[in-house]
Amino acid sequence: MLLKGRSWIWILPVLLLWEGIFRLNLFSPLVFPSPGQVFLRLWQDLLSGELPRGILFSLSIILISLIPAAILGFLMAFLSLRYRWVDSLSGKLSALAHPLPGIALLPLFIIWTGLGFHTLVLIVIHSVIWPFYINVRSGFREIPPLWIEVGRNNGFSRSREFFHIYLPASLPSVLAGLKIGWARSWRAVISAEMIFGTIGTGGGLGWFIYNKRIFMDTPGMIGGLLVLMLIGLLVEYGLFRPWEDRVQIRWGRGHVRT
Amino acid sequence: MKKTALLISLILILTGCSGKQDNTIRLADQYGLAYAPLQIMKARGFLQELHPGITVEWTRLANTAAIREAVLSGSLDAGFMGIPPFLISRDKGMEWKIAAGLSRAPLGLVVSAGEYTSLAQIPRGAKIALPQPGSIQHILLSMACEEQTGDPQLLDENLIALKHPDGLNALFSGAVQGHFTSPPYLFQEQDDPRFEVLVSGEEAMGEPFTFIAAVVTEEFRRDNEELYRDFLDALDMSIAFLDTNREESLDILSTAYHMDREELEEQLYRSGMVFESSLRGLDRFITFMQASGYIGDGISEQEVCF
Repeated sequence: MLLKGRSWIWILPVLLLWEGIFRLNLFSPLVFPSPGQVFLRLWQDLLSGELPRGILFSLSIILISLIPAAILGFLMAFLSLRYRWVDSLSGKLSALAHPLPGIALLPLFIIWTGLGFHTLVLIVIHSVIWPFYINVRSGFREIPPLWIEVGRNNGFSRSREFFHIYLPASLPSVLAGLKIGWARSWRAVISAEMIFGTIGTGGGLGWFIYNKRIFMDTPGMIGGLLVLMLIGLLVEYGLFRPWEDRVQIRWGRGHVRT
Repeated sequence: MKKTALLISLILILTGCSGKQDNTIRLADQYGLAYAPLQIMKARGFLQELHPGITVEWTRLANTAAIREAVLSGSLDAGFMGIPPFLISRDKGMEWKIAAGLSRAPLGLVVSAGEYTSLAQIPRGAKIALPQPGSIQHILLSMACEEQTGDPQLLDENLIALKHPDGLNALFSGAVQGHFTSPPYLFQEQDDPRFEVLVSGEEAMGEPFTFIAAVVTEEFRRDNEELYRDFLDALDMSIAFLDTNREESLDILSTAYHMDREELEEQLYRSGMVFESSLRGLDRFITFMQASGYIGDGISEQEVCF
């Protein structure tokens, strides 16, 4: 799907236009480098290991944060269903915390928990947990009461009810929550890395781009942005789309995407 | 056809922005006491006095990188900044030069009192905050490391890039064990008995150095020689005013910085804060940054100054 030629053909004229504007010599190469310079620098940064290390660092932060955030968010949504006070509490909490950008909490996280890898993890957890909870909660609410009653009439135990009705029925909303969670976490981690980074050992992709800015390596900076976009595309088309298609077909709502 | 026309007009609009402007000077400074003469210059209108009819546009930007980018995009004629980030930009081919110095200030690495007696004692796990790689704080710390241990990168693994106020909070809360900073943050940390300065900027440099300098684009000077001269004179007048008209300066600055008058007076005339237009330490910065690979060999003292 990703590599289906036709829909990506527009890249070619964009590259040509880019090179054309560069050749007009209207801007300093520091402002507007040529595609050749950008790809050469990208290649050098890949070979030097700086870029792969940055990508791995950012992705590992997301992976480490996404899992606990998803588990917590799911639990909150599920317990909200069972207990009224949990529902009221998590509803209020998410209404208060959801609009807060993780970056705004960075200074507080630093003075409360110190500085390090875990600060970034906390920011990402914050940025994922609320949208995920909200999605899953609304997923649970949309489960037709009939399904639950069928389970009860058949004498389902609580755990059986959870594993055979709630869990599968909420899958589409879990998936939607994960998709939003991924997008939020990716933004959160990149922006947090731009606020603080470790100078000697390096950091993630956000730090990579920030560092390129500090040392005025414009081709390298644009290269970093291109990699950001590419990873976004890969995750969307390589992971979420196929998964989504399968879930949709199983739920009888979709058709195979062409 | 329509699209092509649109595109061409877009390009023309974009490039039209960087035309020269007569009788306007666009300046950018940053936050901090080291920029105090500029507040005087603004409030007293010295440049307008020397060059009647001129429009002076001031912008306050958060860091040197933002100033460099604004100059590159053609929205600024001059900016005030530390020497190392300027040298990095000059090395990358930005066409601007140092016109004058503005201030000297005490800088230093603040650590817990009594914790360390030398840089070599700082353990691997300890964290040191400073604004960003390649900043004057980073370069000074590298100089101090080289001086004390022979290895300029000794502490690079310990460094964390944080803005000054975040670094101060991190030090006070124990999240970092050291903070290389400048006034007013340095003064606040020094005044707390729990902390002390382990290495000062001047110890690291081995000589006095200009902290903030005025950098002007070559194009601006070429097109506005007279205005350029007046700009330098206005800077000198502002610096002189700070020394001679203490009371009035304090009035202007306490409004500009929203600071208490006594506190401001204490910090402004504290030892180490020197306002002067002569440039110091440039050669040492160039030599060190060349030796550590921050800038290429093509940079020389004569070439980077007007």
